[in-house]
Amino acid sequence: MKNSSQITTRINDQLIVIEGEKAFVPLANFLRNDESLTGTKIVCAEGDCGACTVLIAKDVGPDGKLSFKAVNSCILPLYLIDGAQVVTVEGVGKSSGMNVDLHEVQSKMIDCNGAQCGYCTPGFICAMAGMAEKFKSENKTITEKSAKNYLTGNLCRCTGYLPIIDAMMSVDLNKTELLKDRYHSVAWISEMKRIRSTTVEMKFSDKSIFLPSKLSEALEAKATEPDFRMVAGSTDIGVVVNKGKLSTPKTMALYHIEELGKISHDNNFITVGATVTLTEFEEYVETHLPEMSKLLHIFASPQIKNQATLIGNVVNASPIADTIPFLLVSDAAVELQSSKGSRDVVLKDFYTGYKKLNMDPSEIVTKIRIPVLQKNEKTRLYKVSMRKDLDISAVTFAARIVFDGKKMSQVRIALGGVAATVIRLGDIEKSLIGKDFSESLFENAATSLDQYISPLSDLRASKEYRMLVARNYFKKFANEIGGEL
Amino acid sequence: MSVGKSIHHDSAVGHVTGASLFVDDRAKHKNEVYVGVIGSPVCAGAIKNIEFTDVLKMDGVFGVYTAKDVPHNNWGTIVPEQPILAYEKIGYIDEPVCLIACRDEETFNAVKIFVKIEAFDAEPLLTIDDAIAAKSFLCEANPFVRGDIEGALKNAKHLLKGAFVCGGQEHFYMESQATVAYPLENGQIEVHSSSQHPTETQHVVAHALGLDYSQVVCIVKRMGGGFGGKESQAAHFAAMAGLVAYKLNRPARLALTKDDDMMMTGKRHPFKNFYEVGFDDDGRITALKVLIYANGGAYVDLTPSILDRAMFHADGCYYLENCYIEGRAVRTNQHSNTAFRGFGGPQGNMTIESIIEDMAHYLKKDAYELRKLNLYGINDRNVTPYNQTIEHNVLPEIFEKLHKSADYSKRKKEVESFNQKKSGKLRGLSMTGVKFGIAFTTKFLNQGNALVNVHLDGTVQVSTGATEMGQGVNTKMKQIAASAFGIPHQAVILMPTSTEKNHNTSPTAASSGTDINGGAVLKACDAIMETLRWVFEHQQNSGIVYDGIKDMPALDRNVDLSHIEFVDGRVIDKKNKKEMMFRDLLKVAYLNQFSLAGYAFFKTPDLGFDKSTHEGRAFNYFTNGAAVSEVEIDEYTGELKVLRTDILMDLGRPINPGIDLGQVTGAFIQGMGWVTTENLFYHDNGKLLSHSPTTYKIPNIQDTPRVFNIELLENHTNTRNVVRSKAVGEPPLLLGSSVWTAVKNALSFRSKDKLPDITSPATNEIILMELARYE
Repeated sequence: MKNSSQITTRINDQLIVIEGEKAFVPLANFLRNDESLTGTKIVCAEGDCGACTVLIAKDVGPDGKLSFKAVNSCILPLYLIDGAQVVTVEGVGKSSGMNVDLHEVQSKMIDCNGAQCGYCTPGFICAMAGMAEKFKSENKTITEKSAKNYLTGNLCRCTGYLPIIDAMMSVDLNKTELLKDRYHSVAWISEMKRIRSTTVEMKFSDKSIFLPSKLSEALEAKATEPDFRMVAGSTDIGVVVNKGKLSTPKTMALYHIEELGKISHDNNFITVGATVTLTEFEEYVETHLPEMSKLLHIFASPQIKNQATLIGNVVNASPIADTIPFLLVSDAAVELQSSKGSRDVVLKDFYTGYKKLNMDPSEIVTKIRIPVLQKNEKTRLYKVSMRKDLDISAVTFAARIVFDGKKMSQVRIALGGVAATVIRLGDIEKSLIGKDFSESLFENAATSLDQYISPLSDLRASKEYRMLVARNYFKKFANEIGGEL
Repeated sequence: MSVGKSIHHDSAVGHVTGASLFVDDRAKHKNEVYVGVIGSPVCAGAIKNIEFTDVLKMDGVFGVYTAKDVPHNNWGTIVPEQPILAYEKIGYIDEPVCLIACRDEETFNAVKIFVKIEAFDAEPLLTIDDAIAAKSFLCEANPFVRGDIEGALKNAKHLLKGAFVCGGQEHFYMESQATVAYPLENGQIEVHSSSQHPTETQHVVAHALGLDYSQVVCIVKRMGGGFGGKESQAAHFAAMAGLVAYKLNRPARLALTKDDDMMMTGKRHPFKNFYEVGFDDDGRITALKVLIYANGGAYVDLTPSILDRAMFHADGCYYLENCYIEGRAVRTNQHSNTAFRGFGGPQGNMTIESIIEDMAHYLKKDAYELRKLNLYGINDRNVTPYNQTIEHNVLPEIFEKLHKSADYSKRKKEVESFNQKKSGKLRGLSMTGVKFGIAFTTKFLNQGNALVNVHLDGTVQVSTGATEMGQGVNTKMKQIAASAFGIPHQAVILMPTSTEKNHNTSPTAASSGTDINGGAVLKACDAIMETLRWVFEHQQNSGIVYDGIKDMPALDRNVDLSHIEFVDGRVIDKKNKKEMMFRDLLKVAYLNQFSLAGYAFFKTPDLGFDKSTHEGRAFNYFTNGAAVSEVEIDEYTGELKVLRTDILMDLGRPINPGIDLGQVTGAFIQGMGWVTTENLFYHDNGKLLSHSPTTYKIPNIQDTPRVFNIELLENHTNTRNVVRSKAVGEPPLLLGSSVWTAVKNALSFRSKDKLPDITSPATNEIILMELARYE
């Protein structure tokens, strides 16, 4: 198949073709500046407020219709929406000239006084429409808890949220016209599939965008041009670019490679592909790794999780990344591929320094394999941040113990936010292995922590606080596990 | 009658469909330029040189401007001392010093690094303590004194001393500061600004450019949130856009990024209030001495008025027999702190609420009992430290009703037994109150004007000086006008606020937008209705046929025609049992050459507090309320959850209960944010490091209390305000402090003999470190 040199997307009911360097522009800016769709607002330009939320369908669901998800358009460059359907706030209601037939979520937002100044409202409307879409499709009931969970990614400074929660809970799904029906088009869906299986190669004077549709193409490109920067959901890079701290002249994204979007498991491992989003992972592990799923509930926002990938979080290698402590204690391993072959690296050996990886520039992380839980093991993940939800951690803690009766036959403990990388506490682990569990053992371990870590102070927390929380997490863990044994 | 009904916000449809237009949503003209702002690299000192010759040659750059390009480089609401672009003296780090006029934001980001700024770096003053030590004061206020304070302190049975410390707060309006300035013919400029104060914006733009006020029109359609942050501080950014438009004769747009907005603009004032309190065995306050210190930042801005309001609210809801309340503001090298919903009131009010919480722990009594004991009385103990008698005092009623409806006593016992279990979680419960004085304490600001145009099809356009920032003032204006004319609210629309229709207006601030502008709308409607009654009377009852040729007698306002009423789209003469359609009467009036427009001016009567003698009335009335909050602390991490909040507010007879409830929830959550997660974090060099939502955490939807009950008290006594309503914008924010005092209450279960000693905001870290202090 011939390669494409443009990005093709559908915004509301308009087919849009993007050529040239414009493909680097974030969707939100494009909507506002090029398409006069100024309902979408840009507030933080870093995916933390949700004012720029739009709905995107990259794929179809089991019913063969567009599967919409809320994303932050301010950190989503156009090159990541090739073959996607976008719906903006202007497309949520059904317009005819100056008249609009309101969508159910819009009517309820009005009835409940959910809009005051109106600046965050378009983002909320899109997130709410996305929730209605999913809950009606899956025959679920909207509860106060689920409403809050779906709207965690949207900040409002006026209402105190109560009217918005009321609005979401009063949505009548029977009266809700689904956007996947309104925007359904057999011709477009088959076109979407064609676009998603076509390699895109865009080259400008000193910049290029490469969207391979086959893994071999990706590996080949990385072998000849190792300076390609890999972008997955752009939820981190998009921010750094927006704040002028980085430019990404040579960019490769893997979302057209179908095989990397898979998640599977057997008796030993859950295997997650490079383009699997955190939402897909979260839904999958709900039954398989409940402790991980619990942590993902307070990790980021729905918008970010719909966009970001698990492997993106792993490769970004932040010392305060939320998924890494768990993956470290569960002995997960990444699969690295290059044109020369494939190798597995366990996570403990993957991080060599602050944002430094045991990885060659010609290699690509294609998968991560996470060992499944055993019956006789206890795992806990803790995180503390300035705000409970949608906030970057100050300290993270993960511990996994395999028991043989009362004896701890295997102990793995990881801490984040206390060093340049997330770290495993090897010496403490050793001191515990083979011993019978007791709370005092962990209290002693907590007291000895200052031999192994020396956290720093920054705007999220002081070093004293980090040390105290790290110690307390040992106590909390021991207390919780002790209660269960 | 639409007053009293919860009609929808007048922009609701536009908001939910994305059609509502904000400043930066305006279509760009082909020749429009982007205005980028560059801030000072140093916190204190002066600029030595700004080198940009190379930048001028770059593609897409049309001009670079510094202080010397501004014809009159000074502004300031109270004292015109603040530069629009700083140079000789730097007030704070990131203070605007240079503008680049260029093609677009991308161009600005690409070229700004080539502007080379050299500066003299001086030692900055950053904290209140440092400023006090250096005697760096912005202003001081004449203290409120009552009784024999020294004697009462000396003779007090119990005495506590301490300092209440609270941090600032970023407004975090979703729409950052934004202006588009369009050059017109004859040296005129039209400014579209996200401003709470179009008149000041107009004046500052005109003054900066050396134009007449009449040459500048400022238009405000709406703001994406204001909260006080656009009361004074929209003006100089508008002047920057105006400057570029003036220099280049091209439309100029300035829309700050969130990061720049947070770094460059002022915030709520941090305070440090030293106190000594004397009280008896029952917990009755016998003496209170408070020395209030506000951190004003680099410039005067609105600080003196904010300091006043802090002092006016240092009594909270409580009677102080002997008191001494002194206030000072310090000048530091921080962004110039400014108005923020509450305007000093929260910092004053929270001090006494904190003190009472401490007294309760000290006396081993329940804080509610102490609050009730000290509450302002109805017939006695009802005079404030500034000599205002509280009329129609509903505070005792509010406290008792809420105590009951929130099930305070039972839950207090549950909290006690919960805390004995040592589950790793700790709970606290606390009630606080608010008695917020309504009126600008600067007397002349208590004025408003309105223009009402009645069209021949029976629809009405209303324009006032009030600005719409989400609070629903326009919707309330609509209801007032519709009710006056007896027509459906759909027949009235509010037009953009513009200084060519309404001039010399006051900022939409001090919760008074509806009070003063609504008063003016009502007067303007009354004037039109008088005309219409006159026309009705002559057309229906004179026996003369006015065919449009014969002159109808000129209006005589002294004739009493009050029996002619406006109801349900009709005009009814109750005496003569005649009626006609409102719309038909309008045509008769028009054909007989009567004006169907009304312009009216309103001033709040009887105000006039004299700051030197403390005589005269400070406030028109008080808006009251109380809240009970229950919190849970994780003892391992210090994490805080608000389990339940119950609020009871007295809003008089609300014009729009739906909109008012939204003000209460929004203000409470904003106040809760201020005292919990909203932590402004500065580098040692004074630079704000928490300048975006990644690092500055306003409350999220998950932070709302798990149970959140809000009720309004029925109160029809407020004849001092338009349609017996009460102002609502700011007062409920002060109730956010109930979360903070509940944290103190929770801590008191572990603090043994120590008094819980925390600052605000009570972040996880503050709470955990305090718990560690008890071990």
